[in-house]
Amino acid sequence: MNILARPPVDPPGNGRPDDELDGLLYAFFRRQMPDPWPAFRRPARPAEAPRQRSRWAGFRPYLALAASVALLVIGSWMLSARSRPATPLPGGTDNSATRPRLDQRLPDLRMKESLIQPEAGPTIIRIEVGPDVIQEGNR
Amino acid sequence: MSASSRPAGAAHADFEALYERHSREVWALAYARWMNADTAMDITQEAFLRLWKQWEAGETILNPRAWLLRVARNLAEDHAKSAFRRNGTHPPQTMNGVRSHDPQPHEFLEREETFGQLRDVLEGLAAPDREILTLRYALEYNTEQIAEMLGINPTAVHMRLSRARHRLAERLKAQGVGQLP
Repeated sequence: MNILARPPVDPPGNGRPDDELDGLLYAFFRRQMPDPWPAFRRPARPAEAPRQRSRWAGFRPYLALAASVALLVIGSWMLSARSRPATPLPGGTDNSATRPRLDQRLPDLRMKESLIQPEAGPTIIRIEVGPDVIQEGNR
Repeated sequence: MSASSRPAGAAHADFEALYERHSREVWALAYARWMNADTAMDITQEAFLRLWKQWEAGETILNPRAWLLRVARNLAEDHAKSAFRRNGTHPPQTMNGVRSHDPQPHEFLEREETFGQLRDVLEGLAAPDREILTLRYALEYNTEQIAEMLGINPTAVHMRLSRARHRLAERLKAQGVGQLP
C-alpha cells in the first residue's frame, strides 16, 4: 500500500492535494488531532461547607423580646421621672412657686349682685365676690 | 464578551460555543510548539480554564480568541522551560500510542514508522515553519484564514508556506522518508 496516497478528505476550498507531500502531511496531522474532540473540562465547584449554626441562634427571639421589654420599662421610668413634681428646697422654706396640691380644698366663694340706680345716668350692676360676702335673699 | 451580566446557563452556553469555535486553533498552536498531541491538549484545556476563571470573576475580555491564543503561546513557553528542567534538551519520544504487544498489520506499522520520522523532521524545523504547516494541514485553513490568525498578509503566507514545505521536503528526502517528487 502506498502510504503517501491522497487523503480521503480534500481540504476545503483548495481542490485535491498537489503532491504526495501534501497527502502525507494531511494524513499525519489528521492522525495527531484527537478524535472525538474532547469537551472542555470544567472545574468542579468545591462543595460548600455546611454553615455552622450559631449556638445563640435559638435564643434570638427571646433576646429580642427581652430587649423590647427592657426598652419599654426604661422608657416608662424616664417618662414618669419627667412628670414628677420638683422637690422642696432644704430647710422647709415655703416656695410660693409650688403648685397647689390637687387634694387641697379651695375656700367657698360667695357672690352678691345689686343694682344701683343713680338720679341721673344708666343703672349700675354691682357684683361682689368673696368668702365674706353676705348674700341677701333672692329677689 | 462577558458572562457577568448574563444568567449562568446562558453564560455556560456561550462558553461552550467559544470552546467549539477556537479550541482547535489553540490546540494547533500548542501542537506546533511541542509536536505532542497530549501536551497540546493540556495546554488548550489550561488556556480555556483560565478564561473560564476570568468569566467567573466577572472580567470582561473584548477579544477572547486573541486572549486565548496569547495565553496558549505563553503556556507553551512555560511548559518548554519546565520540560527542559525535567528532561534536558530531548523530551521523551512517543510512538503514536502503538502497543508492542498487539499484533498490527504491516501497513499500519509502516505508516506509523513514517509518521514518527515525519515528526522528527518537523521538530527540527523552525517554530514559524511548524506553525504555518500545522495551520494549513491540521486545521485545513486557507491562505486568508492563516493570514488573519498570524497577523500577516496573504502574500507572506504563500511565501512562508512554500518555503516551509520546501525545507521539509528537503529534509525528508535526505532521510529517505516516503516517496517524494
